[in-house]
Amino acid sequence: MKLKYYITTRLVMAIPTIFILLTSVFFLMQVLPGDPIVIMYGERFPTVYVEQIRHNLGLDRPIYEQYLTYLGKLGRGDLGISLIHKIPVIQKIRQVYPVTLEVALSGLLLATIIGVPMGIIAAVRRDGIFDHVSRVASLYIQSNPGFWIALLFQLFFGLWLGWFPISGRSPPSFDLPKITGLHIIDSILALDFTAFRQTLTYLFLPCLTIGITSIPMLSRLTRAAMLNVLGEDYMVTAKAKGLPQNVIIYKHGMRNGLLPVITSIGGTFTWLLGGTVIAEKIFALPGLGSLLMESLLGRDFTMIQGIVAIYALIVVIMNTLIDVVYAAADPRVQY
Amino acid sequence: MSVKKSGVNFITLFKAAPLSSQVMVVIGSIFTLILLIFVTLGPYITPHDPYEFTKNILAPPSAINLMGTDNLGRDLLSRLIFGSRYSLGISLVAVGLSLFLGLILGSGSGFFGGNLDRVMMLIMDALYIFPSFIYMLVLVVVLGPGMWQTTLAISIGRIPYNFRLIRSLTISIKERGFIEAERVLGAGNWYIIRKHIMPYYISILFVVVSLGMASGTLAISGLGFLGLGIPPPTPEWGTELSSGRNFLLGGHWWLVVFPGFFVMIAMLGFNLLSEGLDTMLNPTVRRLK
Repeated sequence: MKLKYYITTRLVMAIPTIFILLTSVFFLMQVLPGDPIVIMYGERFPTVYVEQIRHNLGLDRPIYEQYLTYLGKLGRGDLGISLIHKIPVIQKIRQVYPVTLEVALSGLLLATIIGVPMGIIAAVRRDGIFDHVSRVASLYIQSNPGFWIALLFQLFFGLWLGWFPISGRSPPSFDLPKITGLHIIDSILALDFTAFRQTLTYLFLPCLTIGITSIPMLSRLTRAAMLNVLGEDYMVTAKAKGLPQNVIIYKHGMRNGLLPVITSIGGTFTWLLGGTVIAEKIFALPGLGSLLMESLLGRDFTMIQGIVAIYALIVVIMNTLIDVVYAAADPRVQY
Repeated sequence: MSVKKSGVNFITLFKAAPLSSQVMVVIGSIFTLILLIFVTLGPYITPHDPYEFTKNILAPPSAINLMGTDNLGRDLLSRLIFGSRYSLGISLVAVGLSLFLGLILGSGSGFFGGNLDRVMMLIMDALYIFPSFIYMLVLVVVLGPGMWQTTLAISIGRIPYNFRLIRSLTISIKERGFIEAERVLGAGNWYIIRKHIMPYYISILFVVVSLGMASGTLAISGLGFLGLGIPPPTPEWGTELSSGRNFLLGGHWWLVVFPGFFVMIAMLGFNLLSEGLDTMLNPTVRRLK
């Protein structure tokens, strides 16, 4: 009951965030060069009708009025109609968002599995060999642009070794009932293990790219968080009580040290969402990033607004989720 | 009463730092210096004309063309050396501009506090949790193609980060005891800013700028890679990589490997420099850890 209340308050607190983002994008779109009508119907459309359509779409009204209409529609979950695809924006987004989510979440999982233990060990064995090696490795990986890593993977694993497919999301003959849209989960639910294996081989390189580029950030944040905890008074007390080193570190240190790590996982997620745009382009994945690029280049105003709204929603939900997990994991947090 | 001049300078700090930081700063400085030479002397040291078409198209690396040639027969090495002006120049201007704006907004917000601070925080936090690269993409398209527009887009995209950094610094300084003590002694605002706040900012500034250069270079080359940065034929690194990518399937790997290598070297240099300087210039942080 209490947790439910906490989640609700967190979500209510997120409203201004989404509102600010959407407002800024709405006004940015007003500055964007190009006429929506021309984008919809092409240059050679008779000008007599243009004014009529403009009036019907409400584009001839003052900006503040358009803005209020936009917000009103948004409140009802209506993101408008895509200028290029001529279908509701929300429908198009619903088709593609699982692709992005699948890549982002699997990449985050990989980064967490490797980065967090790496940070913990580096902090515990501070100034030891592992600490130095992981520090140098982190710095090195951090310095590799994601698009370069992705292309090198394509070149190496795809073209030279031929182990993994270098583009797309599934083989042409792929057929899976659409339940969640996430191929991994759908194939398990449908008990289709061939599809599951295929999904994994296609997901491997994008996931590896996103995961590897996020490891440095996560391991450094974990290391710093653990170091903070290891210097706390209660750690000294535990040591003075004569507790064995393992108990001190894994029972007292880890439970406290991992709390800030939960927060940094949220930050990492936001950051790697930017990377998915590039990964989707390189691996030809039909996700939100590809849709965003296409809409940006085609000046599809409504679609751009819609995609930004969805990205905002995803990060806000993720951050709220992180806060809730944090509150659940830390008994000191009052909610 | 004469004030004793502070005896701490860069050389004493360098000597006092652990070996690992010393190595990082030295290697980082060497990389940065090489890049600086590329940026300033670019056109004079390229082995070939970066814009000159030859019949020697898509040639693999050889003694004449150390990094091979592209589909129009242009020497890749020359293009990349010349392109450092765009990749690094834009990054530097963007970082400077963004830091300047962040300094005004952040220190103002942190110093005055109150409702102004609350509103600023609300806006900046909203922008901060949004992936900055996606924000930059939208900004670049809104502002239109071109060098200045790209620069502006990157610097605006980085403002939330700089704002939060400067604001928290300002607040932490404001609450330090010695500032209070100086005030009691009758020191004016300007004196405090000049003698205490500025030196504090400056020691952090080096770290922030070199870290910013790394992400700035990443942003500009990322935009170039997506075809939204500096348009060809300008040899910006990301743009080069983007056009080279079309020849990857044909086995012309050098068109992808070398532009990325330049970006990597630049980022490595800046990252090493910031990491080393961070430990060196903030010994208190080091001791606390």
